[in-house]
Amino acid sequence: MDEHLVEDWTERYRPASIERMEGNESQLRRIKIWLEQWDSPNPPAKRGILLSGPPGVGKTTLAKAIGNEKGWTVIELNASEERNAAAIRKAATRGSQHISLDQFSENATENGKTLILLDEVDHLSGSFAKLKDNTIEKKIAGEEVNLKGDSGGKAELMNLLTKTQQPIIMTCNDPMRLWGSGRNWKTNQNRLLRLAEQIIFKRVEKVHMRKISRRVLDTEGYSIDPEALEELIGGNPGDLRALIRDLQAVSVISGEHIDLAAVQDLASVAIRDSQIDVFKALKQVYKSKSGKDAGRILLNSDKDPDQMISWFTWNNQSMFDNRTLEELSSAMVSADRALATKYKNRAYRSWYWGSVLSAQAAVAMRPMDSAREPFITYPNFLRRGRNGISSSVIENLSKQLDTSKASVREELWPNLLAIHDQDIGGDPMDLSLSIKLGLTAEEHLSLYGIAKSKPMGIKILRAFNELNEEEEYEIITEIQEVKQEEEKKEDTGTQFRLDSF
Amino acid sequence: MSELWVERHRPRTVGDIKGQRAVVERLKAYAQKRTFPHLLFAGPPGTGKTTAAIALARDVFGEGYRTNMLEMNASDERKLESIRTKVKSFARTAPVPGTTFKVIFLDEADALTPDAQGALRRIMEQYAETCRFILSCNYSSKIIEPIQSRCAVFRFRPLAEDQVREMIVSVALGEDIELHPEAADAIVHVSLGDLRKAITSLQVAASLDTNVTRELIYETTATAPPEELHGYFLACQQDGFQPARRRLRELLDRFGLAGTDLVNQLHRELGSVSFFDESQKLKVTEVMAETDFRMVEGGGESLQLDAMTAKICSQIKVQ
Repeated sequence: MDEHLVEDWTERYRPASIERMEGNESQLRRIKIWLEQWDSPNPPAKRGILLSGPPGVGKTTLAKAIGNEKGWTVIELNASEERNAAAIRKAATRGSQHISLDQFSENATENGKTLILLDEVDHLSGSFAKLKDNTIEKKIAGEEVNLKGDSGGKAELMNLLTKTQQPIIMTCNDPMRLWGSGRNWKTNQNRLLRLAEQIIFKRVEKVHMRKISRRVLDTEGYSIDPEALEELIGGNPGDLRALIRDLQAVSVISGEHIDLAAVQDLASVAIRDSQIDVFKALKQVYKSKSGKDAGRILLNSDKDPDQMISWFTWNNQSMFDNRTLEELSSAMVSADRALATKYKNRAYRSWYWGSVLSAQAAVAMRPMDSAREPFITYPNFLRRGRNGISSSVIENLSKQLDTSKASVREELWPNLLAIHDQDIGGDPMDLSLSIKLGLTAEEHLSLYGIAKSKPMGIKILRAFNELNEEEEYEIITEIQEVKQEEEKKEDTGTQFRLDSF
Repeated sequence: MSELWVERHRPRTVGDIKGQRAVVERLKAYAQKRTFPHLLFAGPPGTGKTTAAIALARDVFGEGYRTNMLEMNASDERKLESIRTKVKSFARTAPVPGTTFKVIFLDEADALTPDAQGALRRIMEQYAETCRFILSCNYSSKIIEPIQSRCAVFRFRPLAEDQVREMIVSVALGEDIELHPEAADAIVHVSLGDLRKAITSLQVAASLDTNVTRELIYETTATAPPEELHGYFLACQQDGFQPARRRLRELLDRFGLAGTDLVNQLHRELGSVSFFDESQKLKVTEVMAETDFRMVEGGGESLQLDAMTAKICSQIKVQ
């Protein structure tokens, strides 16, 4: 192996410029526009950019490529360092000092900016609470101040975004984690997004993965069978780092040519969690004849019992009729309690019961339609961000209707969802109710779970705007009627399950 | 007997590791090239994760591997602070002369808090040139995706029964122990694919008597043999509460079992009881989970076990 090259392919093939990055084209375009604004005398109104998205799609790479391309100095603060208020302020002032020095130097340019890169901001621990200014100054001056974790970090980040004249890039996997799960998450989100533009990176598509694989293997002097390449890409959820890592791993066990067998060999042991096929495992469990077999399948499924029980609870509902579900419910409750016991008493052994009970429950009863292949679906309540959508609507409604948020959430919201359920006759194009309730077009879409970018979503948005222009709807005291109307409609509708929300 | 047999018979190079063919194949390639990327070993206890990590380090660095390797049990030091201080300071020091990188072995990495894992991921990247990580865990789903994306992942499967038997027999041979074939079967049954448990069981039994029999294994591992457990279920079904209760008491005394252990062993046997159907097994499992829960919460053992017997008897009589 060449001594001068980095050994790790993921580092060796990290693109050094934006042009060389693959996938997420429209996102990259938005970044370029933002970058151009920095070239003008007035920096953009939003000094920061928040890059969010799954791992391995190029968030950190992009930030570094920008620094490289623009010739900006990059100051990086990542989760491996302390990131309390003092540490962030120190990094920021280091940045500004750097500039003032720069102006004296001979080749000083207008654009000698300092890019502050805050990696993994979703791992900033603590809340948005501020620290006292003199506490921070003391800490910077090196006095003995005890700051726990990243305290004040988020508040200082806001402060930095407001005051700075320098570009700031933040990256995160899960913005919800950054806002926090407290009551104020929405406020936190609004405050931050006023100062920074959020750009959401998507998992990388197959075309790009194919292109990159070929480029990497060509450079390294390996050839690969087309089927082998497809197998490798097929098992990858769109994580480029994982892809390149797998390429390197398979090259280690192959000669100069990589064939299908080598990739399959790799796949048999090297499955990441995002690739584990729970669907297949669950299907096998439902089809197996005994609790013993089911238990063995679960043991090899690599999902922990906490997650499995969610999968079972969800899928049991489509497998069994109501009477059977009733019979199974006590076993499922025990299973759930066993898992909780683990946290309470550190009795790890109770995991065993959590998993054997749910497995035994799945095989003990006859499914509704035993001839049919089990149809496994993803548990809705494990989906992220669902609560996020509804909270904004709930806040809005509780203001409009002068009721508590709790009663909107528990009484009105389920009814609204049922009315809008497309499966039981809800019509997304019927805007009357949403307008009466004073919902925004986006909130109307969220009731139906339609994305804004989908053709249907665009159509509805347009219709919504037209209606709003035509006439001013009055919201006044029709609320009572609306509620009655809802109840009437609900009676005629088919049953819906609590879990659907 | 001054040494643990598990240590003495631990494979010294990756090539010697039993089972896990696909895993070993890839590790051998790494050992040959004397380099490897970050690794994530996932699998149940006793399947060779620690062994593989140490053997690989020895293959790459030679006998002095310990100076170049930091072993950390993540469940002891699972806090954000220890990642930011201890791990980072080891990662940034230069490797021992003659080698190009160091290794940090983080055992039970699934016990790290998400924040600590978040700190870890950038360290893994920043110091990748000079420091490689080997993480081991039981449940990989407890490892955040960004870390999995940075690692080559290896899944260790529970060892097959004949692999455990083969290993046990060879250890017995090496230690000059007379191991009856039925005793080997018993060890396989008791260990559930956990090689560490299997070898330890053998050593404990052999410390009492170098002539290792089936009975000795069950006695020393505090495990009731399958036919005894079977007998209890049969008594529940056919003889009713009092005789079943007597059998249970006898099992506890003879094999020196704790109540919770007995419930667990009974359930593992339940799968192969042919005279209960699957829905009866569900009922019985529920009763057992309930009993275990009550004992964990501090309920009296004999009272709870009697209640369990009573409930099982009444559950399987109806039909």
